[in-house]
Amino acid sequence: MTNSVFIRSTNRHRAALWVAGLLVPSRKRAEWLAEWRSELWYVQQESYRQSSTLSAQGNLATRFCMGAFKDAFWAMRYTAHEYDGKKQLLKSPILCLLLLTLLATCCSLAAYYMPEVRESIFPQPFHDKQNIVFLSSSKDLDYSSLAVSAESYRSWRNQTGPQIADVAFYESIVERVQIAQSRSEDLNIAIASDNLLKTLNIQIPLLLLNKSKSMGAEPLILSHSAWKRFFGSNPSSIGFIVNVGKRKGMIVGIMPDESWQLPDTMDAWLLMDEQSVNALSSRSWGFVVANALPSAFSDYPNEDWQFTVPNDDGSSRSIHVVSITKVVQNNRQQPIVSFFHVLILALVVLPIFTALSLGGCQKAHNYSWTTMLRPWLFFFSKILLILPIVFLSALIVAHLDTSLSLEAGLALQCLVAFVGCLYTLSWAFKDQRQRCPRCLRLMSNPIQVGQSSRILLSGRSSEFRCTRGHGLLHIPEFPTSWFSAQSWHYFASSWNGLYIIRPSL
Amino acid sequence: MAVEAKLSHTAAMILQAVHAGYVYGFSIMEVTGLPSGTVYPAMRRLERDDLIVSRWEQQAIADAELRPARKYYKITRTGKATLDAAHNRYPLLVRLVPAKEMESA
Repeated sequence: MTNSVFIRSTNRHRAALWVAGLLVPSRKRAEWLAEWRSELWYVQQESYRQSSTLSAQGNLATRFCMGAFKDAFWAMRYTAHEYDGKKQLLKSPILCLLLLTLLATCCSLAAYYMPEVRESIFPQPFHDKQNIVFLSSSKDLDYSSLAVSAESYRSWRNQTGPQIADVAFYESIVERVQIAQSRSEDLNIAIASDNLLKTLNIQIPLLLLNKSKSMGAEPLILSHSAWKRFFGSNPSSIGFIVNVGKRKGMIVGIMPDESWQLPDTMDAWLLMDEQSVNALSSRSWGFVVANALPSAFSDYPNEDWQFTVPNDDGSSRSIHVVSITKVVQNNRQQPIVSFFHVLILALVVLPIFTALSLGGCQKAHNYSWTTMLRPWLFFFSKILLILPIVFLSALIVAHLDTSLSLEAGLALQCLVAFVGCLYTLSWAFKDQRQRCPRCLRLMSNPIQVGQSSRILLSGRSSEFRCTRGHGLLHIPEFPTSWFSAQSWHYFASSWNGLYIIRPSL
Repeated sequence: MAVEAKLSHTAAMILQAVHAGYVYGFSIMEVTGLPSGTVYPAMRRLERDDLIVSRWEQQAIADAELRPARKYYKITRTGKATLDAAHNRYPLLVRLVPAKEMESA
């Protein structure tokens, strides 16, 4: 019986200590409880020695446990004002830069492991097709300058000399294509000579070629995205005969999107035999591509050369041979270029969203020039880390949905980049304004100053304090003639005694 | 401490007790007659101000003696200097808390 009463009493005391321990901050609670429980055991042993009655023994332990509440209150109050290493770390400029660096690294890794994104950043057009060239009457690298008439193609194709082989022609047009019985769509179609794919070394399986000829339809190759968008990736669409304008085409193959890297984004290619090409109107303008023999490039190390062909009237004209790699590289829409355009636009719009002031924290004080330089270094480091994060994030988002057309992807990329630039640049300015110009830590301990009434001469404002005692940040609630923007009030060195930095206990 | 701490009489008595060899909370309560609700918070303040330090007894020693491990407190060099200054302010402190006699083996 005595034992059971003792055990009940002990449990009561331990429960009281546990309840008191709830007041103690969690990171200190375990040690606090361990000390009090240990001491309780010794108190109980001593009370057994001193008192003969159970009630007297219990009273001593109970009085002891009541003291635990006072101790717990003290621990709770003290810890609230204690130097908190974790909170201080979150305010640290180093942590800010580390987090941004981590984010930039994650974005870089994600971009590296997404082939589409990697390809768009580091394009390698025709890296295995160095011998493909454009034939043009101009040596300009712009696509528009390279276009020639179908008539020119017909006159050149047999006069290119021994160094050129497989001359092909294609014209890019928008044609109404009847997808189904009651559905038509405008598609970008390349009306091409049937040797185009061979000339470009694009190897894809083409089915039912003979059947298409027998049925009087031209072979039609769909791009993968067009096949997905208009035919729902239906494998049985191979063999479909569709109307392409006034022509008939039979779907004979699907071309991966990345295989076509020439001017214009194509939805389909209609391959026409020589007879149909000859029937093309002389007003048709397109591009002439050809295969140059490898020896030609050793003869012309600059990759571009020209030869002459005779005209019907006896005169001659020059034909420029332009490397396709150079043309594609010159005309490719670089995502970084689009990003810089978006960035400039965002910078123009940025003042609408946030003030571009850094809060006067850069004003001269009696600090050394290195201390004065530090906020600027920190600010520009943030910007330098933010820009690649936004650029890569926009690219990743634009390539998440592979069914998007290139134009839609580019539009999405620009939109994400624009919003991202606005948001992150606004954050960079706001964050900088909330940091102490001396130690670059985020300000804390906000207090409201002024009267609550909103009469003109009693403007309210907020004051933030640097936890290291470098100064106060004064932010008026509404701008007045004497306080239109936030301002800094530096503490004199006599304040230092109030801001002793205490390491975590 | 950059500035020498000025102790209250209670805190000085507790610091004197630690210096005198009463190295855990309950023994300090016994020798000073102060309640637990005064002694333990005061010891935490003294520890916060680096006047005393604490360490846990080795668990193996406590286990061998079939009792829980205790948390022991020890006066620091700063604490000794502060206590010396407190002796000037409270001359009877040494008499109130006499040095602990050696425990019999």
